Amino acid sequence: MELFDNLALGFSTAFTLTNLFYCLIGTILGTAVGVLPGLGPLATIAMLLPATFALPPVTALIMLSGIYYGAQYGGSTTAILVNLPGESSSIVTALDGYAMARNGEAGKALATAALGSFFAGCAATLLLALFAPPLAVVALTFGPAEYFSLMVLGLVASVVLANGSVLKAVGMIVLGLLLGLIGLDVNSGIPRFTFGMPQLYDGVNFVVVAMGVFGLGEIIHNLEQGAARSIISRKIGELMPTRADLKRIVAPVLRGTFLGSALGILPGGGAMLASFAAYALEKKVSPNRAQFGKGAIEGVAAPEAANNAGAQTSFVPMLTLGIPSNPVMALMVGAMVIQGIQPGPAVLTEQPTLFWGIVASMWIGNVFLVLLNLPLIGLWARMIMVPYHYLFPTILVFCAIGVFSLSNSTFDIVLMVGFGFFGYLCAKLGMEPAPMLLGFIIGPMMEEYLRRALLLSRSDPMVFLQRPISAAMLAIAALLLVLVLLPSLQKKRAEAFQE
Amino acid sequence: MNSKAPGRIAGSKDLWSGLIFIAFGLLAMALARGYAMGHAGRMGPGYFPTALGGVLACIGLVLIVQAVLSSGEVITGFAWRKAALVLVASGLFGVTVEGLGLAPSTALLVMISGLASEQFRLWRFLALAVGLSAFSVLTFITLLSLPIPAFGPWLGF
Amino acid sequence: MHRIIKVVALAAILATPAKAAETIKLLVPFAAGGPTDLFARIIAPDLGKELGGTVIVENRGGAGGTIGTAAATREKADGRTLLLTTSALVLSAGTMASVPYDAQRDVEPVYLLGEVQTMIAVRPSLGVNDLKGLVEKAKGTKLNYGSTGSGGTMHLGAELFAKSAKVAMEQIAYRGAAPALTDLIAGSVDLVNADVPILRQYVKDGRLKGLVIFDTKRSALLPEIPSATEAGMPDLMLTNWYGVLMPKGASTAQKQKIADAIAKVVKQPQIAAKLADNGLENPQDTAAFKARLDADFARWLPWLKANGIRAE
Repeated sequence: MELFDNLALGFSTAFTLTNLFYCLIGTILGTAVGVLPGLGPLATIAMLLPATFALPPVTALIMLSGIYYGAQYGGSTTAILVNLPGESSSIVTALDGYAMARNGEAGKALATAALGSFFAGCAATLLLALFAPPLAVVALTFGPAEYFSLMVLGLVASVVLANGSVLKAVGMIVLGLLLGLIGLDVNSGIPRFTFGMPQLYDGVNFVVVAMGVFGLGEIIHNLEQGAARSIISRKIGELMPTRADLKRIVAPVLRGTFLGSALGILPGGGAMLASFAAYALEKKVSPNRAQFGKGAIEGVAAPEAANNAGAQTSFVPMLTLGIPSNPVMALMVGAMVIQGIQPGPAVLTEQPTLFWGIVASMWIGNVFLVLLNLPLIGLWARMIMVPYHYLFPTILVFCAIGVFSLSNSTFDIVLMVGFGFFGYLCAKLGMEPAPMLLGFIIGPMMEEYLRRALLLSRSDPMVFLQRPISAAMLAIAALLLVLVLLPSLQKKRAEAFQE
Repeated sequence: MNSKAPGRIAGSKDLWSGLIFIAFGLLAMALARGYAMGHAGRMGPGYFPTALGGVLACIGLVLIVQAVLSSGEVITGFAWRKAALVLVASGLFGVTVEGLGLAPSTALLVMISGLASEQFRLWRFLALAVGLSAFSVLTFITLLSLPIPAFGPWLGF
Repeated sequence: MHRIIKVVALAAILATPAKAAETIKLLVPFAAGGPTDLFARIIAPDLGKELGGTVIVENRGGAGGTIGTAAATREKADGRTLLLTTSALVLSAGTMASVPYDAQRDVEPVYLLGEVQTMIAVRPSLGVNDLKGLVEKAKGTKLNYGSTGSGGTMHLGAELFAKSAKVAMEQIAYRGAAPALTDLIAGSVDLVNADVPILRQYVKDGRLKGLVIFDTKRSALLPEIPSATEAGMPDLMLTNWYGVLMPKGASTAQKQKIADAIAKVVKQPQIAAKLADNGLENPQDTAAFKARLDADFARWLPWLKANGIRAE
């Protein structure tokens, strides 16, 4: 079979000593920058790019991809341990992961994240190997109308994230949408909500908001509790999931992998929604849905699987069409060009060693990541036994350096402090920040796609219903909305009857 | 319902959440007046923010009505001193990191924010400050070569 | 715990570099990962060697390059701060209401790394085979073009064509060139004007149709596409330059020294090949760069004003 020939070629490429070495370096580095909040894979890859000029193209790309998916992996560690999501994809992991850590199940949460990611990474890599070219075509069927409907679906799903009042969650989403609009309007070039500050022209960086609201806000909230929270958790608990736990996460991981793989293929921001979508889905279908937000293991397994699967399949449009789906992929395209390779459909036929070598290395990289991270779990889990009064200044240092390094600007830190204050206020008022961050990510894309779709359809709103994929997604969104609102309406009625 | 004293409403979480939403919603609508509105088929830059601001203000209004009608949770006291220490320490880091350099700024951040903890002990926190400064210089400057000086121009470097 | 802290502290003190002989900051006013950043990182290591120090690339992205450029203008002209920027220096001066520096005075040209040609490409399903065909088509129906927003070169290139052909087109703005190209390939947008290197592959494999190079000569990357002069619309001229500048006030000798060092670096065969692969050609010395800058300001500032292209 051709696939086996191809995979054999890939593995024979990836299994050379040099390539294995650089794959390992890439995954270690990726994990490290993923763990450190603020410093993302983009900056790391940009910094390391010159160092890869001297390497053969396959080796260079193997290392750079390792950094990318390694960072997705490392991001979950800080999210679980100290509630700091350094990447948009780890926001939802923090919801139940941090709750698990506080229950003394940090080790189990980390292991679940690692195993879920590993499975998803392997499955998505196989998918990549089997169907990359046909999947690429799917990416092109998504126009502005489809993306807008996808964003609507994502927005409705984000209501599900809330644990408390649905109304407040919707308010936070809308507030997030508004925050996302800060900056130059793409269509008109007019700055909006910038108060004349050019530093805001490109909008507020996600990391600034997350570090402020989650990092600083949470620290103040914890300090306020004083001695009651002198450490995050007093016990380490079991490090590995039990057989019963594994049984619980099989279905969520499978669903997460599927959702993540599908969304990762879409270049227009699909991968960003992967972990949210997986979490929302689990919270609706899981038999343990009541536990979500309080440390449900499914709430860690599903989004982590989705996130990693999405990270792998987001290579599809880049490798097969030459279309980068995010800034990191754009940088990879640049790296390929420097190496004298033009990304596009020709890569598959003209550079089979490169294509299959990268695919095979992804699988090897996932093995490395699991081997690397499982032994570290004990160490990480012990970290939260460190007394909180030593831990919180450390977290502050990493937040501050991470945010400063985004664009070497004091302004970002001041902004983070502002969001920190707001985050504290939210914690006091029972306003959940996670839906706000999702709104913040979706907001600008949603407006952009909406306006673009209407421009291209010459102002015909029917375009969203005439295109089948778009219409289907809107229908699902409507259904989901009913499902979300029903329980709270019923509760209201129950309350009314009681009185 | 009948057990609600006026003080309960004034301290209600829902009430204040509602007020915050209304404030942001109105602010968004007010600022968006400066941007072209367009119309539904051809939206200008002001259309989306105005609509969102309106929705947010409405949500805020409903929250307030809820707060008045039913007894919700009440806000507990604020830890202003701790909040101020953490926030000021972080802000100061941003202001000094380029001038003083990464190492002294990190130490400052640790020492000032440390004051927010009841367990603050000078010597232990000094040790933590030195350790973290060294660690961040090693990680961020030596290994990751971020363009920040370890000791900055204000110290004569 | 304490012992660990002591060991780490000691290690850090040992690892802290003594005040470097010469650290030169190469400011890039765009985010890491873009083409400008890429060029900076290609030349930085060898430039450091030539100048007898280390060159550190510092990204200060934001507001169309104006934030990073403003940061550069606040530095001393002692040769320890260099700015690597693009044609955006000229365009932002013409399209933004307030730029916190004088683009024509506060920075001075040192060396032009090279220029990248731009071209018009259309979706094949449009059924247009040459520039003449496009003009006719655009007169019949209102075409859409993709851009990276008002004041970007993709916007200017397309509007340059529209004004020259006396047609009206609809701008569809995107965040970055990649999503615009995706929609062009998928067929929802009709055409773009963009840098030749980013369009090259799609034109080669037939997913896009290249019509005209916005220059007097053809492109080495796509030699079969006619130049604007050949295609009979000689005012379609738009190339993007990438150049190194300094804060104002440096002596001629100082600029000369740095220009010589950069010239040596970009002419090394390996580096020259990498730059050429990214479509960067025709490096120029200080005087030629200065002339090019002056010509750009003289051409674009009135043109932007006359055509009402202004981003508040």
